[in-house]
Amino acid sequence: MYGYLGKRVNVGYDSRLYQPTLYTLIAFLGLWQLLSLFFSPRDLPGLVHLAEITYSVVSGADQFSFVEHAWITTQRILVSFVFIMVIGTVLGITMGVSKYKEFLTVPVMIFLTFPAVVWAFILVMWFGALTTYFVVVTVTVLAVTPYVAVNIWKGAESIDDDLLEMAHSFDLSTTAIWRHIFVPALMPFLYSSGRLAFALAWKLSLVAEIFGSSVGIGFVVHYYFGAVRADMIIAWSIPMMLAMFGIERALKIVEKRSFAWRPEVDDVHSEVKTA
Amino acid sequence: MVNRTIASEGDDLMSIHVTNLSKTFTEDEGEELVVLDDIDVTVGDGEFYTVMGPSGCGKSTLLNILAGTIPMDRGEIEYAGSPISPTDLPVGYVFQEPRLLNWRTVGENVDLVLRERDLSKSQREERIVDVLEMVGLHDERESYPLRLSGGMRQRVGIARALAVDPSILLMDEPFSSLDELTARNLRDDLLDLWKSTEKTIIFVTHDISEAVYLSESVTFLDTRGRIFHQSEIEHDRPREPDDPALLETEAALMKTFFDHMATIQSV
Amino acid sequence: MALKNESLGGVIRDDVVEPVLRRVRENLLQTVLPITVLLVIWGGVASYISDPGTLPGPLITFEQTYYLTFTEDPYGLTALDHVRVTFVRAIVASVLVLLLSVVFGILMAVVKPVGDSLVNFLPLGMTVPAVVIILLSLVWFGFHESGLIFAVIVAATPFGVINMWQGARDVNIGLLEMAHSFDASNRMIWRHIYIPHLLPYLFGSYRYILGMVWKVTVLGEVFGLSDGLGAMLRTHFQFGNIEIVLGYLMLFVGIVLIIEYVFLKPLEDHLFRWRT
Repeated sequence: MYGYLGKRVNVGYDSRLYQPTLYTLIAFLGLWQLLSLFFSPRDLPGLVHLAEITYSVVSGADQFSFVEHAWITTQRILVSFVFIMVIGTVLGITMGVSKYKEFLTVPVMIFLTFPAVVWAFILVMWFGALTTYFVVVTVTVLAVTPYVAVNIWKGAESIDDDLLEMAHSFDLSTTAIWRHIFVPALMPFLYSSGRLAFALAWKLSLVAEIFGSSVGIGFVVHYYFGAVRADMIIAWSIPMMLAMFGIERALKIVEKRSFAWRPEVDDVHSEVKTA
Repeated sequence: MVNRTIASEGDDLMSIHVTNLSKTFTEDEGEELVVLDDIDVTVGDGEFYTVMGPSGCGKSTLLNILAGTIPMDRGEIEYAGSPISPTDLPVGYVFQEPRLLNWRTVGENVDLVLRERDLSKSQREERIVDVLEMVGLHDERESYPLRLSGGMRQRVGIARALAVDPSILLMDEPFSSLDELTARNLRDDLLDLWKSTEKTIIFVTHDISEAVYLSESVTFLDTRGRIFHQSEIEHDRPREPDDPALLETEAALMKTFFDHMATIQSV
Repeated sequence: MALKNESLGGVIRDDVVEPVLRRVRENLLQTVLPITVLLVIWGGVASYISDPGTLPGPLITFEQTYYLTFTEDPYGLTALDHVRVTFVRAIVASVLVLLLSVVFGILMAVVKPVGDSLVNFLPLGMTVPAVVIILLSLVWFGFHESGLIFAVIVAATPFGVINMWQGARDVNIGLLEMAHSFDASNRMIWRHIYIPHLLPYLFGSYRYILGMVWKVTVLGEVFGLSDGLGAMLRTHFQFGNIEIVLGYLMLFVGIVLIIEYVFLKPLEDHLFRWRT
């Protein structure tokens, strides 16, 4: 039963790392608690206070409804994600197989240099800050898509010409070449692009929400920035951040599972058979 | 092996004649590189035919042309008595590196080349079991290539080439990246396969002892893309890799080769 | 083939100079042509809209850039002064990030307990949005440069550490074994194996860090400072001056691209020339 799904594949955290991770976490929290003793709870809340206000935010006791704002931010991230992946993949593959790919490098590099906040400014000046989705989603898509396109482009360029030659010598059809060579070879890049797109979409949606919307986590965080309430900024960021971190890790695990054909470099069990 | 019944009707009926074959590559700098210059080759039905030459000569190009992946500039190919386009030659190709799809299991790799043919699911199934049995890999059908050793991967490459039931097996230095012990095992197994399936094998190598050990006929290509020597190897089979008689033949062929290369370089 | 018959001088000229010239020509073509196409599209859309208050064309924008670059604003600063302010901040912050990344990256690779303790926190650190870090540190440090630089360091260091850590882990084990088999001293191993290996990585990491730091710095200035590019972008955004916002953007993009592709990239290629 070699190489079957999950059989030889080491998924999730290495159990040897639980202890060091735990110690570091305790040390970090201890340091935080110690520092908090020297500051007002509004600037640097102690752990207990932080837990209390985070709970009050999540349970809806705050002046802003957590469910409402978190839900709208989540929707924006998801919609942006879909657009980013579709446009980025199409662009990246086009760039990888196009005859004129050398001419696409410079424009992509230019767009990669644009700070997301400038996109937010331009879009808000054009469309105002009252749209629920349009401005935030467009800013996020404009800012993140170039990263995904470049990633997929690298994948498309890494496809082995030898395999294509093999395919031609066995008279494989174009459909078969796409299905069995192009798509599987691009898969790792699609996964890594997906994780990248997700992480960036979350961060840049916040920036876009600050300038381009009056709902969403970004808006609320910026409100508390205006009110000089560091504790509330942290309390409002923590739940979404943990959720995003969890999703990111989950995607990573799914990714590892779907590449059962790749031997794990660190896996001591993956002995290679001899002829 | 359905085709064999037709093939065995006449001994030289299924032979391949290549005449006046030429191929020139144009490099990026606009320089022209002649890799095959007016080549004539005749391979008899069921023959083990080896093309020898230093790296950089047109050995692999010749195979690629026969496999239909590179067009020839000039030349005719005749198979079974009638002209044929290289894309229609019934060949199976074994490459130097196995060129397997690492994301597909051994069985799926073999199945890949069968899908394009008019075969029922059960026929395909039967063929997969058959060829994996032939190369001794029936237990590894569900394994992924990267979990196998280099020798086993090359066996999968051979199984895949056999799966399309070709009359001609093209082999491009298939054992050159394996260690010598593994290579010896595979050579012996290849000879057994050749004997049992009676396929025509066109084998490319730069290893003279491999050529002498395996083949019935060895043809030498030089770096200008010309054939300068051809030799029948008439030692009895089974041969012993370290048999002094074989070593003598090797030495004589090596001398021919170096003498010829010296004449080219002095020009 | 014909070259073989020519004099040696001819061979050298055609074989060596010709490809170099062609590469320069190609590079120029691959740079100038796409930029021209972009500008033409931009100009076309702008003249179709024909409202410079909504989308100023490239001509108006570059005029604006030129004007901003050489004219003092009410505080006596030109755009170049603001760019300089931003870039000094970015360079200071990025050097600090690099130092932290080198120390932690190498420690993580060489000292196993350090690596084990931190490996799970890097992805967590990378999930924290830069904008949250910026807002927090501006509240903590006040609207001051130190707050900005602190924010940039916190936001960029996890990325730098991961990058450096990978480089340090890549040190060829075979080379290390060879060194030990020759009884090389620790000092020699560092001098001849680690450092030559890490130097190009260091450079690559720096380029990567800088790419991030530009953007975070500008974002920080948007929220908390009264000078620098980000502050100018915010001010003119608030006044609705899109042509000035675009004028500053062009200046920023131009300078970053020149630093990246005229200075840093060729230098990195040179350092990595042993890898083909």
